[in-house]
Amino acid sequence: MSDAMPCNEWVERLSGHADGELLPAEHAAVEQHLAACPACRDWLEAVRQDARLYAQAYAEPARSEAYVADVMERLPARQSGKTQRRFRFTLIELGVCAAIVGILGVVTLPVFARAREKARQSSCSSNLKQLGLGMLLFAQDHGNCFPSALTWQRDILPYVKSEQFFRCTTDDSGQVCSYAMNAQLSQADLDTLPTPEAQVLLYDANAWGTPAKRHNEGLNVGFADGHVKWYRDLPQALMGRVSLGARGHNYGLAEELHRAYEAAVAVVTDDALRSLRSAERIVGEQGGFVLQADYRKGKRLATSTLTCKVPAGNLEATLSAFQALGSTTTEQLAGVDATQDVVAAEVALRREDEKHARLAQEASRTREPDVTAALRADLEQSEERTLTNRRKQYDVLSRTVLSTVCATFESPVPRPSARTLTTSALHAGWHWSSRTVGVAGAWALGLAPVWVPVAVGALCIRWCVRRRRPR
Amino acid sequence: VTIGGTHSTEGGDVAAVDAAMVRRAQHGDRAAFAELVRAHHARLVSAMRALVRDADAAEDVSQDALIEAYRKLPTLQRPESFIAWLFAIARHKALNHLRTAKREVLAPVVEPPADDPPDDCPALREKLDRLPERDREILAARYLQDLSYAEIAGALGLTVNTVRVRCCRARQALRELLSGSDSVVEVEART
Repeated sequence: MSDAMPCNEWVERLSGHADGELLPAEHAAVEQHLAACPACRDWLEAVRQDARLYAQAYAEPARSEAYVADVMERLPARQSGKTQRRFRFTLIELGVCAAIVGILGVVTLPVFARAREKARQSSCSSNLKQLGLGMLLFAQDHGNCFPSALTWQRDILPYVKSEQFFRCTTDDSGQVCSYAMNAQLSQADLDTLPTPEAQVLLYDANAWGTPAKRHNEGLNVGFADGHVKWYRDLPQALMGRVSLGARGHNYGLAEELHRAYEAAVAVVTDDALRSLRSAERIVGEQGGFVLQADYRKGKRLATSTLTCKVPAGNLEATLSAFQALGSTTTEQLAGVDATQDVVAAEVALRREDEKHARLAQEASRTREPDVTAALRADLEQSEERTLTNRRKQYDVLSRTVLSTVCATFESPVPRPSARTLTTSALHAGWHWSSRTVGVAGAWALGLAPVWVPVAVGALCIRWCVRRRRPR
Repeated sequence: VTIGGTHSTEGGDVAAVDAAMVRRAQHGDRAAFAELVRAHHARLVSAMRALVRDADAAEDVSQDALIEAYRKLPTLQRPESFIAWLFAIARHKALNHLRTAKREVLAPVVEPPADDPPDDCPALREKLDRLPERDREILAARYLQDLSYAEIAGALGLTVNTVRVRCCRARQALRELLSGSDSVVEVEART
């Protein structure tokens, strides 16, 4: 065995040559080198000898049939993966993609959400701008006065011409109008406003007129000069002369205005009759009186209705007490601006008083019997008219002092037969199963933005890895 | 493991027969598999012996590998590369065995007497066993299993170029060992 050392730069190719793994061009070069270099020739020969020795050293004789039988005996009865699943994602592929998608989602989703909300906010602000314009147009046509805070939507509709402007895209409560008018400017004269640009006219609000922070934790506010701005909170300093109360206090409307409230509440209770009795007691406690009470028991529902008058100041407490009797289904509060009626009644009364005083003066001055009789008849008529006017005034004032509340209580009448129980259970079962399938499908579809990119990413990774893997 | 290439040193006919056998065995033909065992077990045992350096363990590992191969046979995509595939499985088994053997501190193996096939060259084998593991596996694949570079690359999860370089280094180490120089001890110390 020789200790021949091959040329360093040739050793790898010589090794390949010994294994017969060289390309034809390399093979020729090596042959050429071998012809010239005895050391390499010796090395190659030695290496071949080594290989033979190595193979000899570990050579194992073929085992007897018993060995094969032993192996065959230990073979499992079944082979796994008969139906070969060629397509199966590995944990790493899926994990990597899920991580990437997750990180991207975490990074981008808040940004997208904020951008979307910004877009909605600008559409809402354009709505407010339109409505503000409608308000100003209305004022131009009505002696520079804004419409009433209770009827402004109806009043300015002819000017804005589309009901879409009354709905904010972010508002999902289903209410017809997403905005409220600042009650301080109800029928206010535009000329008397010192700074219209610093006077809130409209704002994002819920059904009760309380501000609703819909847009990026803030709300859009429209001003009396027509401009719109986003605020984190409703700027109370810019609301006007009278400060607004909370919901529990006159529903955010100005105290000095005369309003006749009509409220309605529908409540589902356990026992409609007992609720009616409780409601009557509540009305008495709140200083009101019952106008009408009715109880009716149907086949499936027992219904009781109650109409009452309560002091306007106690309206909120009364409604809350009614709502506490069960679960509320609907709740409405309508206020009618009675200011003009109050003023008209007052003016009519004053005029009648003046007329009466004038007639009385004339009657005391004249001595002619004919004229005196005529004046006396006039005076009597005037007194009658005064009485009528006083009655009217009283009527108007009582409406603004006493609010009308209509309450409905409903309770189911339990009388289920065996048959209805079975059918309802079947129906519920069907409903449940179809619902489950629907929900599962909706989930699968809803999560498509997650699993589709994950699957596609996993495919890409697999494709790349497959392409790089040596053949 | 996807293994490319065909059986290089064997004749084409042998490979074709093998592939046909493998296909039959893939469909659950136990007789065909027995034929494959008969044809390849000796080479497998010798390669395993070079890898695990223990005759008994080599037997066990080879049997385990054959059983595993039968179980997974339907997943083999290229029947013509059955030998390389079998070697890849056996190599994993051998590495597992070496790992657990390292963990369990074994008592020095007492050479089993006479019952074994006659030992031709114990001294030479003892010398060869001193090669590091990475050289042993490549030499076993090349000289005992007769696999081509491409097949070795597939079985060991390497590129063909790496196999070529490793093969050359292993060969040099072997040369050094067999030329009787004392640097062999250093080679072993490296492991």
